[in-house]
Amino acid sequence: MKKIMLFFLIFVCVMLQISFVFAGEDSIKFIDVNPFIHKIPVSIPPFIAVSDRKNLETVMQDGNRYLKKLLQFTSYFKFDESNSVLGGLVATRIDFEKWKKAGDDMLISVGCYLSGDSLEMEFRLFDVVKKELLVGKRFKGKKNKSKVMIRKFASAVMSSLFDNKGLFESRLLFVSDHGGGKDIYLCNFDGTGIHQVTADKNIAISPSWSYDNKWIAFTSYKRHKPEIFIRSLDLGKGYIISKGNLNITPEWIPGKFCIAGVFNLRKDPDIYMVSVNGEILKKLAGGFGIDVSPSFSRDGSRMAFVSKRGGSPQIYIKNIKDNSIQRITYEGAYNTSPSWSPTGRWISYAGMTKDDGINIYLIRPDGTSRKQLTVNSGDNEDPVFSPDGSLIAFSSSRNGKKKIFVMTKFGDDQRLLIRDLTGNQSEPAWSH
Amino acid sequence: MNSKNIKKKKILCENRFSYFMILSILFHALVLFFIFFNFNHKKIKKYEKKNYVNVSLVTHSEKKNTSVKQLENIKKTDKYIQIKKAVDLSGKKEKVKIKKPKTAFKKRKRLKTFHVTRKKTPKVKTAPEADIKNIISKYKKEIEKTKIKQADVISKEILEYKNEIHKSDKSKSVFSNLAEGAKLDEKINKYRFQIAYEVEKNWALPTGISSSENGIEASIIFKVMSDGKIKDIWFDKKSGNRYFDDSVLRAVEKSDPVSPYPKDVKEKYIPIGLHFTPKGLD
Repeated sequence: MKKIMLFFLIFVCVMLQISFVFAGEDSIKFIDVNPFIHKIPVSIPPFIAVSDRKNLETVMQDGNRYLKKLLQFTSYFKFDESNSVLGGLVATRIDFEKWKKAGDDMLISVGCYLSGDSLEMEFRLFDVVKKELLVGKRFKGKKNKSKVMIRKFASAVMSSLFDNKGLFESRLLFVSDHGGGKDIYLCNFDGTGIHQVTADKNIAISPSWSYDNKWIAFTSYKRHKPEIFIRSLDLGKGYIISKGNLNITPEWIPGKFCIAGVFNLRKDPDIYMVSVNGEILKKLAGGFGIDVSPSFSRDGSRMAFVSKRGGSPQIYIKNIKDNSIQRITYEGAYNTSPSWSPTGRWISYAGMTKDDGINIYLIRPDGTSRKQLTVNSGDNEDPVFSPDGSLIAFSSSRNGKKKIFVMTKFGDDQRLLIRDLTGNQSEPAWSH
Repeated sequence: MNSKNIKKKKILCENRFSYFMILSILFHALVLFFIFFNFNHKKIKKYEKKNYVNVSLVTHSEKKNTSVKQLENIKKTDKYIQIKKAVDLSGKKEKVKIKKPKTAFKKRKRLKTFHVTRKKTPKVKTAPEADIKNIISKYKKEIEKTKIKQADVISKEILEYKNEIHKSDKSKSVFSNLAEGAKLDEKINKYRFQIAYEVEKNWALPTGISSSENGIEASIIFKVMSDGKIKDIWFDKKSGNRYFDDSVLRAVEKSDPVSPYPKDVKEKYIPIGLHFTPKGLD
């Protein structure tokens, strides 16, 4: 018996040793590596003129600057300012080692052809390390349309690398008191190309884009009480929804030609689904306390809104299908302006704390992973996601007056978006 | 390198230490078990010997001219007393002879004959003497035999011990080898961390990607040759995010060639595993 025991013990010991030896040799211990560079280093050397160099000089210089500006705006890229020059447009004529040594990950080569007024541009994005072509595009148009071509190429880059679509074609609505009263304005994604939408010199607030980007809705006081105005941007026609003495915070419902708005039809304001003709289709949220500021997930299955049912204004999420309601914010006594990310994975909102004013927060729709995006920089309100979900526009009083800023969805790269307008700007709404 | 990697280093060292601990514990357990196992036999043998030893103690006491009474005190078995009586009868000279403990002890078996001799002693005094002498010589031989046997056993035991010592010596050499290996391993480990840092410096990942997905990660394994050239890069685990995986691969390829080996390291190649996580942002 003892011998058996001994044998067993020896056997176990031997097996253990063998396993140790194997464990030592075969399993590799993985070392954690964290990203050191938080933007992709890209080089955009001067464009190459294939013909008519003299007439192309300004187009190429402006184009280079514009392409850099576009890609920089995304917060995904940083640029190598070295003055390396391309040997050619195609991979076989480019000495990639030069760019690799400079620390670049990617390289963009642009060639321009001009014949008369017709401009042709060839764009190529290379992976410097693999020496591969990642994106290649060729556009042809009038000479003054070079910016459109560059924008299309930038979009192609974003969609090819990150599946991010639509940022460079998107626009923003916002409210400004630039002209006296509060009016609705429109601008490009980068804050340029500002147009005035309403010119009532009264109060027009809470703009919202329809999901086809053709219609807008907003609240206006121009008829002496808050009413919801619906307007086509192209056609110039529209609707007015007026139910009782309160018609505010319109929000388009995904996939439907109707809006969710706040109406005071009973004791206190509740959220209803209303057709553009003013027909009440459904009560979306109501009960004790005020319910305002509806915001829908892109698939329309869930609605975030602000409710005072718990005593203080907090953000709740309603599942449209089963009508279940869940409160997601518990910190702070004042949380408003929820906005869904296009992916439906995040909600940004404005929250007020005693010490630090109003700030932008990011939270999961289940109430977890709360992150504060703005810190100690005045009051920051009205967050809204860009259509690709990578950026958040918001209004901030950090420089005194309320201005519209933009940052990445995780709070990096906070910068002024609309520079060319005096007065206060607020309530940005990004097209879909 | 950030603190997490340093922590990992420590953990690696601790792991190594614990492996050694476990190994040494196992070896000790093994050796102890051997000793214990053999010790049991020895104990049994010693116990047998003790019987003889007791006897020899008696002889010692004789040499010190201890009285029969004292002997009585030492051994109070009936049989023994009977033997003493017989000795008393046989006279002082015989006493000394009989009192040789070995015989006294061994006579137990032949008590009956002594009973007979006791009765016969007055008649024939020489007979018991001769008997006793014979018996004594017999037992002397036996004792010698047993002594030889004992010596054999002892020598065997010594041999076994020697063997064990040899074994333990061998194990010691294994340990020392391991220790040397550990030093080398440490160097290689340091080298691994150095390479990890070189790759990390080249890893560009936009926050838009790193923060968009929770728990996004990828693992890569590659071989580093002595001159620092990277070979055989393969994914142990992909993140599923195309750009993330591309960026990871790009970081490794961009770092090629990495620093060459430290001086003493003479491996054919060093496999390195890197675990890419954008945790630094949370």
